[in-house]
Amino acid sequence: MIVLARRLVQLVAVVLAVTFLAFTAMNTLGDPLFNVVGFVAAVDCDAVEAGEIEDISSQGGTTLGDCVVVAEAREEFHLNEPLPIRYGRWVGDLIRGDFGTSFKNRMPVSTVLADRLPKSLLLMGMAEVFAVALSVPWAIAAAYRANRAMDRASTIGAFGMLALPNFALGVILFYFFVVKWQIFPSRFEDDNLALRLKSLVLPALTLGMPLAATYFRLLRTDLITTLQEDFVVMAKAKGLSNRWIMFRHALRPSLFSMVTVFGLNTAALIGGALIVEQVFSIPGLGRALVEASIRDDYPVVLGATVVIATGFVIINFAVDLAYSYLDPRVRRES
Amino acid sequence: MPLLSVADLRVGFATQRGLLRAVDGVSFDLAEGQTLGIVGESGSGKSVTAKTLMNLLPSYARVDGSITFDGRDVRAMASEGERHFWGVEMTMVFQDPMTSLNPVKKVGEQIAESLRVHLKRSRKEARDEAVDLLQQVGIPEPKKRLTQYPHELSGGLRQRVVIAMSLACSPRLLIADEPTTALDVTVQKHILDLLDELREERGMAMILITHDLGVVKGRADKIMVMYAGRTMEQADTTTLFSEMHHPYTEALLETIPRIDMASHARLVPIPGSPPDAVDLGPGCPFAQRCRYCSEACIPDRPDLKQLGHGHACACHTPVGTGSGTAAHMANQNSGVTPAGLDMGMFSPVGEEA
Repeated sequence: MIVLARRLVQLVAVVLAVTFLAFTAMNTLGDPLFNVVGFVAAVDCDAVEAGEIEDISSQGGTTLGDCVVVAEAREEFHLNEPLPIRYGRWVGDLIRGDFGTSFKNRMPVSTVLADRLPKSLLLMGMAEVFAVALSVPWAIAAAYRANRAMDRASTIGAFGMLALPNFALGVILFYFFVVKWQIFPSRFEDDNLALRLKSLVLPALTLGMPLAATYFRLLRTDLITTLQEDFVVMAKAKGLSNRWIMFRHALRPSLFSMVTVFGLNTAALIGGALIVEQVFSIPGLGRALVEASIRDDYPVVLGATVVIATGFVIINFAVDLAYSYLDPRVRRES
Repeated sequence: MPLLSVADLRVGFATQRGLLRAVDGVSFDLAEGQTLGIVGESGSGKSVTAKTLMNLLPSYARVDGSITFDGRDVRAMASEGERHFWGVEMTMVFQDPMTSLNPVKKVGEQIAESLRVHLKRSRKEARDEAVDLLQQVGIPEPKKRLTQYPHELSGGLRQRVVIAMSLACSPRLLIADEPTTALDVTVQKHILDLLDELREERGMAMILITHDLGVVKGRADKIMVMYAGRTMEQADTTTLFSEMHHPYTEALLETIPRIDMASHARLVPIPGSPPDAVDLGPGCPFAQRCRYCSEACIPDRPDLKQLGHGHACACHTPVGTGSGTAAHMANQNSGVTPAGLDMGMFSPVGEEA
C-alpha cells in the first residue's frame, strides 16, 4: 500500500513537471491565438479599440469585426490571463477530467486521445510481442553456442538490424509486402480487430526488429555469464537436462538488463512511434503529437504529454515489480 | 569388485602454449561405503579428477583412461547422454555454498527438483522428502526453510542444504570437493562430521577432496596425494600416516598446525609453488621444492612404485629409506639441493618459543 501511495505521488509530480515545461515552452515559443483565429491574431486590437487604427488589412485582418472574434477567442481560451494562472486553470480542469479543447477543430482533447491512444497501444504491444518472441529463443540458442559460428553470425545480424534506421526498414517492408506482393493493406484499416491487427503487422515488425536486436544482445551476454555460475554447474551435477537448467535456473536471473531496457522502450513507444506511424499512415498518438506541436495546439500536446508521462511512470513501476519477481533479494530491500 | 574403479585417467586441455596435463595417469579403486581422501595443493588436479567423474568438464577437454562404476563404463554413459546416473548414483558437493545454490529459487524447490526429475515424484511427495532431507542434515525448522531463499541462510546452513540436495536421490557415491574451505572454522568440523555420519548411515561411498591432510586423517579409509596432476603417494590412511614415504606428503603434513604441538611450535612451509602443468620437463615435478632431491630426480621422473598392501609411492629417494636419508644429509651438508634450492628455505616459520 505504501509502495502504491509513493508511486502515486511520483506520478503526480512527473505529470506536473513535464506538463508545466510543455505548457511554458508552447506559450513562449509560439502564439496559441494565431492557431485559433488565424492571421487576424496579428491585428493590434487594442489600437483598434482606442480608435487609433481603422484599416487593419495590412495587419492581416479584413473588417473591424475581426477584433470581436479575437476577443471572443481570447476569452474562450483564457489567453489574456497570465501564464501561471492559465496553467493552474488547465490543471484544475484536468483534475475534473477535462483535457480541454483542440484549437484545430474544437474537438475535445479527450476524444482525440481516445481515438489515437488505443491504436498506439496496440502497435506498441504488437511490436514488443514480436521483439520478445524473436529475441528470447534467439539469445538462448546463441548463448549455448557462445563464440561459435552461429553466435558470431547472430551478433553481426543484430548489429545490422540496429544500424538500419526505422524508416528505411519500414519502407523496405512496405515495398515488398504492400506494393509488390500486396499481402498487407497500404493504410490503417479500422473496421474490425482482425483488420486492425493485420494492418499493424508490418509497422510492429518495423518497430520490433531493432528492439529484438537490442534484447538479443543483452540477454545473450547475461545468459553466457549465468551459464558459467557455480549454481549452473551444481545443476548439471544434479543430472538435470540442459533444457531444465536453461528454463528453471539460468533464464530468470539473466533477465535483468533486458527487462530494464524493455521498460524504457515500451514507455518510449507510447508516443514515440511517429516515423513508423507516418510511413504506414497510422493515426496514432505519435502523429497527433507531432501535428499538434507544429500548430502550437497546446491542449492536444499537453493531453498527449499527460498520457505519455503516466505511461512512463506506470511501466517503470511494472519494471520494479518485475525485478522483485525475478530476484527475491530485491524483495527484501524494498 | 570395487564400486568405483579409475584406471590411468588422463585429462588434458589444449592451450595456446601446448597441452595442459591437468590429470596424468591417476588410478584408484573405491569400495562401497568407503571414503577416499584426495589431497593436494591448488592445481594438483584433484578438482579436475572430480569433475571428470561427474561429467562436468568442458567439451574441449581431452579425457583418456577408464572409469568404471559398479561394472558400468562411466565415460560411455556420458557420451550416450545417460540422464539418471549423475545426480542419482553419483553426486557432488561443491566448495562454495554461497554460489552453488541458485539465488532466485526457493531452497525447497532446489532440493525437490532432482527427486521430481529423476525419481518422478509428485510435487507433494518431493516436498515431504525434502523436509526429511533437511532434517537429516540437521537443519532446524525444516518446513520453514523450504520456502526460504539461499540468501536468508547462513553459510553453514547453505552447505547443509547443498548436502541435502546431493543426497536427495540416495547416491551410492558422494564427491565432496573442499566442502568446508569456504566456511567459518567453527562450522567446518560440524559439516565434516555430518558428512561422515550420513555416509555411515547410508552405506554410501565418498571421495573427500581437500588440501588439508588433517581433514582426511580420521575420516578417510584411503588417501591419495596428488601433485601436478599425478599421484605422488597412495595408501590406507593408517599406513600413510605411519609409513609416509613421499617427501611431498611429509611436507604437506608439516604445514598443518596440530593440537598436540607445543603452543609456539613453528610450521614448515613448502617453498615455491606448484609447477607449470603445460611445461613439466622430464624430471620429478616436485624436485624443485624438495629437500630430499637427488641428482636422479632432475632428469628422470620416478614411476609410481607399488610397495605392497595398496601402498604406492612415486619417489627416487623416499622418506624413511636409506636413499632418502642419504639424499637429505647430502643436501644439508652442501646447503643446497641438486635443483638449486637453498636448504635454508625449509626453516620453520612463526615466533621463537
